[in-house]
Amino acid sequence: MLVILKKIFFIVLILAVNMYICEYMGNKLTARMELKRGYRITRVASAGFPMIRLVKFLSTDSRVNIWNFFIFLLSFLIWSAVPVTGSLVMIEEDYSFLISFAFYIMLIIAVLLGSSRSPHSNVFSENCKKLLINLSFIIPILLCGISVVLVNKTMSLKEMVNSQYEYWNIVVQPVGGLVFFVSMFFQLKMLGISRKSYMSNVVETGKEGKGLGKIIEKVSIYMTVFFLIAILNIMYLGGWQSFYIIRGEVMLALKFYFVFVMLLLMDKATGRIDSYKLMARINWKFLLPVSIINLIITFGFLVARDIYNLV
Amino acid sequence: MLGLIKNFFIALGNLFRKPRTVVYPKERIIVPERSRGVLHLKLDPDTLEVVCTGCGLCSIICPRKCIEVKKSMAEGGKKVLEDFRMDLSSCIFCGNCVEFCEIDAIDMSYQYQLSEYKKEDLVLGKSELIKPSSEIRDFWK
Repeated sequence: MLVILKKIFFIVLILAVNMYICEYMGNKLTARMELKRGYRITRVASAGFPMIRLVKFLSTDSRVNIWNFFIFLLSFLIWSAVPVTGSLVMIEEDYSFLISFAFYIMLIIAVLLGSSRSPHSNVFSENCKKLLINLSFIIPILLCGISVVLVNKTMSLKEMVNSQYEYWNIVVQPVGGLVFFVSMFFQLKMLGISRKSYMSNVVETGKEGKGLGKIIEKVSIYMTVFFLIAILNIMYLGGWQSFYIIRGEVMLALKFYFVFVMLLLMDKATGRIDSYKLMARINWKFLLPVSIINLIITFGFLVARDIYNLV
Repeated sequence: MLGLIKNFFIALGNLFRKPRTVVYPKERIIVPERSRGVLHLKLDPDTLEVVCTGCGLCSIICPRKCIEVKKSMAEGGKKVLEDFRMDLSSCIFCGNCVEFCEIDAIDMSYQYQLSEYKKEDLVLGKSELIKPSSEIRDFWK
């Protein structure tokens, strides 16, 4: 019991520290990408600004509804099956890949439905559209995941990392890695990784706001970002495998921040996307076919190698 | 797709470029040359008196009618400027007054921070219009 509590404490601590750094880095870097010295709040409070923002938000409004509570719970539950490092995993499961994605899908549904607080039916229909498109982006991710599962012959995320001791999965599955990154990017774009990246004016998710509810919403969005980056690291970039003399944990942190900065850069490069049709078109006409072809090729290769001994 | 890649590298390059903005109250940029700020009444370097004779051409030419000139006759029939009022709240800084002045008695200074709490404070008199320097561009510290 004590061991589990200790693990939970360390996982929450790592997530909190990362959230603080990413909030600061995200604001500072996006401002620098626009050739600004920093947004007003980062200039005034420098490195302490996420803390000041937190206190400011809390002081305005402390009401939460049942959706907020549910979102808060889920945003930590998604880490129950994901190994943060080699030894820091809450529950070791053989099917951690499936369990983590089940929690992730639940979180996405909760975040998007929870943000439609307005009584207008328009907002709800907007949210449902957004939710469906966001869920459709999970399909290519799952297809790419199945390819990786076939290659590594395991559904456990920990074993996936261990099987990459020789070379990373990105070498074997470059197309899958690309599709995973792009669909992950679009999902985060819809949820709002940085300011001004939310899709519609009507839907409130990712917008500026105040109160405890907004903090929880922001935390949940950071959790989805971290979750997807962690899964990308585990499935394609070798997770916590050490690199020559560099320790595995250091490599994990380096890869994590590299992917985060890449996401920020992509976010700035694409600008604001307001068209649902464009997102859906990219998904159905590019990501899904490519991921299916990738799966078929992987499956065919494995059948040819393992059953018919052709390769 | 090409545009996306181009944008990506522009955003990446911006990380290593010098920011274009300044942290305003702490740092200030030097105002560009020939910027138009508040009007400045020139002084005669020998006598240290105002060059303007109060002919009133500037107030006639002003499209916003924000200049008010009062003149008086000194001893010997010489025209002397008695008062020169300028309403900054309606001035559009077009520079017509400077261009049309026959004796080149006014110019535009580089003073650009003009906010006031009251609208009445935006009406400047003769003594205030003598003050702004036209030589130093970042004088307003």
